[in-house]
Amino acid sequence: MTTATSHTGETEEQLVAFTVAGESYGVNIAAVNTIIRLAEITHVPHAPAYVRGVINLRGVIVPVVDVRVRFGLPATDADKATRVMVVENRNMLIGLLVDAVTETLRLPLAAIEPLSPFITSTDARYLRGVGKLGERLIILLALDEVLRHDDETALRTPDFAVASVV
Amino acid sequence: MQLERDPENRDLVQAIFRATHTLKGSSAAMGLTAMAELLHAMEDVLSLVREGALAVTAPIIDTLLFSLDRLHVLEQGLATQQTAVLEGPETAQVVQALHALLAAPVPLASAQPLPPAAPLPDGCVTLRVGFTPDCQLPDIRAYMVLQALGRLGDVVYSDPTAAQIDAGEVGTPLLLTVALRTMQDEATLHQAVAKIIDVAEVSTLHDGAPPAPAAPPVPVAAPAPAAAEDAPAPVSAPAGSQTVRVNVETLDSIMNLVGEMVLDRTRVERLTEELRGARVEDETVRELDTVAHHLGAIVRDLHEQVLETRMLQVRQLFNRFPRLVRDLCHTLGKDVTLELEGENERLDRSVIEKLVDPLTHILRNSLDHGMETPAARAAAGKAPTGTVRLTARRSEGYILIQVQDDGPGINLARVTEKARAAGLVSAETLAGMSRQEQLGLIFASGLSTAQAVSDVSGRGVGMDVVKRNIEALSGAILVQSEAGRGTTMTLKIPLTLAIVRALLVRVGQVSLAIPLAFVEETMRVPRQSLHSVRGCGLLQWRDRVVPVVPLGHIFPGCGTASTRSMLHLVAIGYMNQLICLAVDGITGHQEIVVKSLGGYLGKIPGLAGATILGNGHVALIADVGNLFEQQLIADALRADRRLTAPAAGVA
Repeated sequence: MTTATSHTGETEEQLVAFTVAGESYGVNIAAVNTIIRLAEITHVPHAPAYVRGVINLRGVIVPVVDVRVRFGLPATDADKATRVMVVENRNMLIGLLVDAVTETLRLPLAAIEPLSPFITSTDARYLRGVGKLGERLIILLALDEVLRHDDETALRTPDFAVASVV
Repeated sequence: MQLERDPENRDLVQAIFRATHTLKGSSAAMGLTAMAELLHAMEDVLSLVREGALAVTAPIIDTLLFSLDRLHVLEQGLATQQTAVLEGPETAQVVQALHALLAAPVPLASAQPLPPAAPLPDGCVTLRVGFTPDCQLPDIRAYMVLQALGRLGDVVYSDPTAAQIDAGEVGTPLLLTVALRTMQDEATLHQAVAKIIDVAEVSTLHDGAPPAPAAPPVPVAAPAPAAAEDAPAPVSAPAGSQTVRVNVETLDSIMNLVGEMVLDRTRVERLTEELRGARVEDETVRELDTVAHHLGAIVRDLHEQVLETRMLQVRQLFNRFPRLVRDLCHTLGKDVTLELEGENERLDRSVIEKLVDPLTHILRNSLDHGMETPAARAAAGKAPTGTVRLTARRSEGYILIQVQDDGPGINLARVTEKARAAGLVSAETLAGMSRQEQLGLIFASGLSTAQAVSDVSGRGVGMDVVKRNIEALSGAILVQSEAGRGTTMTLKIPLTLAIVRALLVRVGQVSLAIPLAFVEETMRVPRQSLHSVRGCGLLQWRDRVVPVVPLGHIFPGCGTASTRSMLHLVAIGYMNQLICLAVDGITGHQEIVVKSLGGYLGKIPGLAGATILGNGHVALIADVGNLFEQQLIADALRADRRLTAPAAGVA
């Protein structure tokens, strides 16, 4: 969905670049709805650990995924640079909590390389390639994968018939 | 149906006859021969009834209702272009059944001729209004006459009715008969009517002369599609009400937009407040303050009005049940009168739609399991005819719908026995349950106490489906039963789905809204007053012993650490069970707009969604039914060994 540009015969992809734990990442600009500062966030009990909570985005309740936790890193406190990048995925608005949003940039398609087969960490499925921009490397995020729950059924607990509390 | 209860009601026969006749005319005009033939046969029977040659008996009603069913089938066949349906032999059979009735007329018990007119209440004047033959837009003219007369008195009767006029079902040349209860004299009435364009003559019918014309007016070729889509126009539309059809989706989206406005209004008011504090002298700010207030008032009114547009009368829901009960009685060999009450109460249309299935289930259950056969009733010293009362009553933002029967009551021993046999509860648990809690077992899935599985109320999938449906409406259901005296099911349903009255409580940093339907009471009690049994907190309350669960243990990670000596408790009841939730604070109660947590999070155990508070913060909404069902409370109780001892620490 986010690589639509490659089908239209364009020669470059426009990205929003952000940093998580010191590394540069990029998502296709078409997927990004808005970028906001992290204000009030409401913790949602019993949600997956990587869901930081829900926010009120102009009257719509939007869940916020902590990308650090999603990548298996420890969560950190928000600071001045912390942003919520709200993306649209499978017709849902979802916020990505990132350390900072740095810029928007154009990346020639020719400069995108598939991921080296030597990177075999579990996080590899979240990435769809690496873009070379001069000396910099931008890791391209596979949004569909990042936003797929590890076990899509894990959230649904089975129906119990009767619960007696006494 | 109404006719069966009141077989002497000639006005009713007249009304049915007229509707049938009009419909027949339209279908013949549209070349729908099958339908016209059926209607013609119905009309023949009705006309005999009308003239008093045929008494209204059960077989006649049966056949007429059956014809009505057939008519619906035809109508659907028409809509879906299925010629097989339209030309099938079934219709002919129904027609034959109708003819059979004609062949063997049952003479009327009190064979009196039809009185010249239905007696009208005192102080009534009957006017006959004739229009010019070349009258343009006769329905509009007729409507204007009704309006004009409505201003001068109460229109108690009109022929054609207001509904027929609305639907364009007026004859040419138009002749309108109106009965009016009024204080005005004849001349004033005549004058008022004569002013209307195309009125040719006005006359007063004295001594209550027949409002029923000798010859039924020839129906106009009504606008074709209207007749096909919704055959019988609603009969009870009040005279002089103007309506516009609106798409439900449009209403829903208006409702959403207004919900947003309500939230923004609160924000605007808060911002203005801040500005006013900071810039007391500023003229512009004062002006803004006035405007903000006015805007607030308008939004409040708009909100109420929009809610109102979505409301339908409970009648729309109850209407189908007399027929259901009647058919079921025939099938089950029982004799039951259904009494309806509170049909004028109003409910959000989406709620009405979602109540059809649960109420149908409950009524079926009530007739099948909850009602004895006439013989058994007589043996028990009861009246052979059973009574089921279906009532609707409004109570502070909720509607209470009650189904009350005077049957044998729920056999508790059999319910508990079944539940144990089905492995739903252990004998040990059963022993510890109160009577009310044991009654609640009827909502467990896989439990049916009917001696034989019948095709009416099925295989024990009824009541748990009911429960689930009611919960989906943020409602609650309560069952009461007394052996030999009967059973009462009470549904407590919010008037609207989109907006719920809720109690706002605080757990650590999180605001949680608990729908008021489940809240029994809020209280503050000293920690010492809790009893500790094997580490669980128990409170003696209303002669029951109620477990106390810290909400922070049900919803971990909210940062609660309440060790204060006074506890804030919220008693919540669900399906005959009671518990107290210990919370960090009670913020108040207010109406909240229910929003989904979205597809990404899916169903979170114990949560029904979220709402946005006036300050823009998000509050979560508790799904009380789910709390009990998902063992969340039981788990939290098990985990809780510290409530009674003052211990620090986050869960």
